[in-house]
Amino acid sequence: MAAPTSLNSPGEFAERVRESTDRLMAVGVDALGLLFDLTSNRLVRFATALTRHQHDAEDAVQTALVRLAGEPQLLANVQCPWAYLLRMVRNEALALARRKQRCSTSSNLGDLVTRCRVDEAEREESNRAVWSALRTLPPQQAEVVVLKIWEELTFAQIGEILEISPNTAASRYQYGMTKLASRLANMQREVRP
Amino acid sequence: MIDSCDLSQPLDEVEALIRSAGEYVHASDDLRPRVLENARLQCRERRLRRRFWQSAAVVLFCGLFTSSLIHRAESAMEAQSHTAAWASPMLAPVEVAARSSDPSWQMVESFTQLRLRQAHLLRL
Repeated sequence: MAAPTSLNSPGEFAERVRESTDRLMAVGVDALGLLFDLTSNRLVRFATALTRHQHDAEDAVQTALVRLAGEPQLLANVQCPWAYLLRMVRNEALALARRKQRCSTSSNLGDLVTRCRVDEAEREESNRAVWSALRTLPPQQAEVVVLKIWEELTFAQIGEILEISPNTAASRYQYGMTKLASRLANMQREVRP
Repeated sequence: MIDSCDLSQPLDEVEALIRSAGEYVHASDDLRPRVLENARLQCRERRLRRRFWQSAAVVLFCGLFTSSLIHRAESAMEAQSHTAAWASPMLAPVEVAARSSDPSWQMVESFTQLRLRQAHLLRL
């Protein structure tokens, strides 16, 4: 079972990913389960924001992790394995989206595998609204929003992962957030006229 | 470098809303076994491929080594038979002459053989 995503601070989480990847390098494929449990949910939600389809996102995550299991030395000289892993998944997700041409805007969330605890049932509606709104963003803006808010990375770190300047990352974030705010407001108006 | 945006209050609310939706989506249950199985399969394939190429390299090396041994043995036998021919001219004088490709040398060799044979007969 994959670990909840918000247990650690970003630094702590990155350190745990480093430990897992060190273990993967030392032990081999048998240590992949540990890395999967630690990162899968985060990687899937990041890739889902990019591909706009959870099945494609999971395929991208699977390809990246399987490749990593076969070539753990890829992480040997990497300063931040978590950033590297995010970049690997991003590359796979973009390649998959290009191949399948599924990058069309879709507000249907039927493909999503969701989890909503009983005490959070009232939040389900707003969660769905957020994911619907996120899907309407261009992938370049959606990925920055995901990395900034859910992964709590700085614009410098985001810029490194996406190979853009921190200023570009910041401006994409601003554009993305403005669009999300207006779309969420519209959705709220539709629900409560 | 911009590391904090000058966003207005409503954007902070949106940010909080998005943050709370972070754990809404999670990996499907079959992803873990799928990933682990594929990774194991790929590692096994990689190991088999590596073993195949290692075996191929060993076979190639053995082949080359054997052929060089055979070649060396052949050339040693050739040299031995050449020496033997010169040592006992009565046994194979014609072959020695025939081995030389140059006609003039063949003639010299035949003449030498003939002289040696005559000397041998005279000694008897």
